[in-house]
Amino acid sequence: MGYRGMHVVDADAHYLEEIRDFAKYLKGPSVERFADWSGQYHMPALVGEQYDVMLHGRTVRGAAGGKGDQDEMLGMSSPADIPVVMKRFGIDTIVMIPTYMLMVEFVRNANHAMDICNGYIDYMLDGVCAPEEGIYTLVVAAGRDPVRAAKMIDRVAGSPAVCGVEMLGSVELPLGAEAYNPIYEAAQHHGLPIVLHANFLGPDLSSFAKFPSFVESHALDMTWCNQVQLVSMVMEGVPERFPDLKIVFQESGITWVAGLMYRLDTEYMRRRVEAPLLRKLPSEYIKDFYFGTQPMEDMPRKHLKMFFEMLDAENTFIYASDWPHFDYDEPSAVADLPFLSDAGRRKIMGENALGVFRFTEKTVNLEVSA
Amino acid sequence: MARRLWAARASEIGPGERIRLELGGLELGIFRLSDGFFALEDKCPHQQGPVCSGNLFREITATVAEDGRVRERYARDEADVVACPMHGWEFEIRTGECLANRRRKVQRFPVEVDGEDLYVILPGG
Repeated sequence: MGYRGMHVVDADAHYLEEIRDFAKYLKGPSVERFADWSGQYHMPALVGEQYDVMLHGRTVRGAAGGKGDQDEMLGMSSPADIPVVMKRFGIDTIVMIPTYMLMVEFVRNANHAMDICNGYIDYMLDGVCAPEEGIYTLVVAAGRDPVRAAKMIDRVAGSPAVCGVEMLGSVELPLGAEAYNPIYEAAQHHGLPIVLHANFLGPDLSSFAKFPSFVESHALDMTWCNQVQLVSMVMEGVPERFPDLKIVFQESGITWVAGLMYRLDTEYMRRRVEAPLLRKLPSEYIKDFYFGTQPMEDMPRKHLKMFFEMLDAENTFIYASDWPHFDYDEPSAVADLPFLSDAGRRKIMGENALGVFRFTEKTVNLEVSA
Repeated sequence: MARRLWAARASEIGPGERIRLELGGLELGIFRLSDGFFALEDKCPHQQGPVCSGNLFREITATVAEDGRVRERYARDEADVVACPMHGWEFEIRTGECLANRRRKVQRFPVEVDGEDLYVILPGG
């Protein structure tokens, strides 16, 4: 497959499990919580679902081969959908992000949260992932119980379908805290990146801005939570504490990074005494991170080019589709940008991801692009 | 051609103290640390603040201990860092280097001690 002869990695496509299938993989007392399941969701409802995220029928997803119903719009709802989508977009390697698991940090009972994490990864590994076909997933680590989360990572890290560890921007304690050391140690030990996936933790969940529409909430919250975590991880020295750990930020677009990069440098120059572990400027640590490209902001090309330059995009950006959400990006949205070099294009569309995620299977199009 | 200009009597500057003066058309500060005298231009590279009038501190550094925890400590047991009073940029007095970014520096000038007399070597005027 591939796109324009390149090996394409989609670092963020969404999967929405069939709830009854998933429930079979739960163990311990959490089984009882699902045995009498009668509602629609097994954890707090998706924030923002008071809105119609798919724009009241203005976006439709059936063209990819799925059913086109509401579940399809939130995530591919059966394993059979995945190769159909990969073929349509020319994706060689895909990372399936569990949509419901984006809400796991809102589960306040730590045991319940970890039971869900353990059950979910077992479900994904048993019935959904197929690394020999380029289909991988992330093991979701709940921040409420870092010790158990680390044990879970150790338990499943041997699976060839696990390519990274996902954490959510909605953790209660920012991710620079030493409390998360067990998770970072486990990820680093197994050569798995930490993937920070944005979700709704920002003004819309705070006391000072209750937005009346999804467009307001989504525009701000999805960058806000990743800003919180990036500031925390940089300034509290996660890269110094775990120098071999790779860190990826997803689903916030790219423009928020540049402004924050220089704002942190300005703060640090004045208040270094509060961050003595740092050995270089915050912006230099940030350029060691990776950023999913989606949703790529629409703006004049000359300005977009400047953002790519500021963030060393050819070495830090990773193509992500976010299929099938309303704000997904086609591969062409990134690969066809005219200011990219051929080498940079190949890196952003696939090679950077191949170096960051732990993909175990042979990558078929690398010979084509080399 | 460098200029060797008399600046002060050594006894004017006690241990851990500094004087500020105008010399050869420049505003300077001369600091006395445990291993000698050091002269800096009294102009912060950030927004040209009077850096040599700032308070002195010990450099705080941090390392990662074997248990994974961050441990803070003083780099040296001497207040040899001056903080610009305008925005807090910290500079190592011996080198003039900013602790947060070693590429940013306060201009530093050599000091020669000749008996009781201190001379500062300035660039040619």
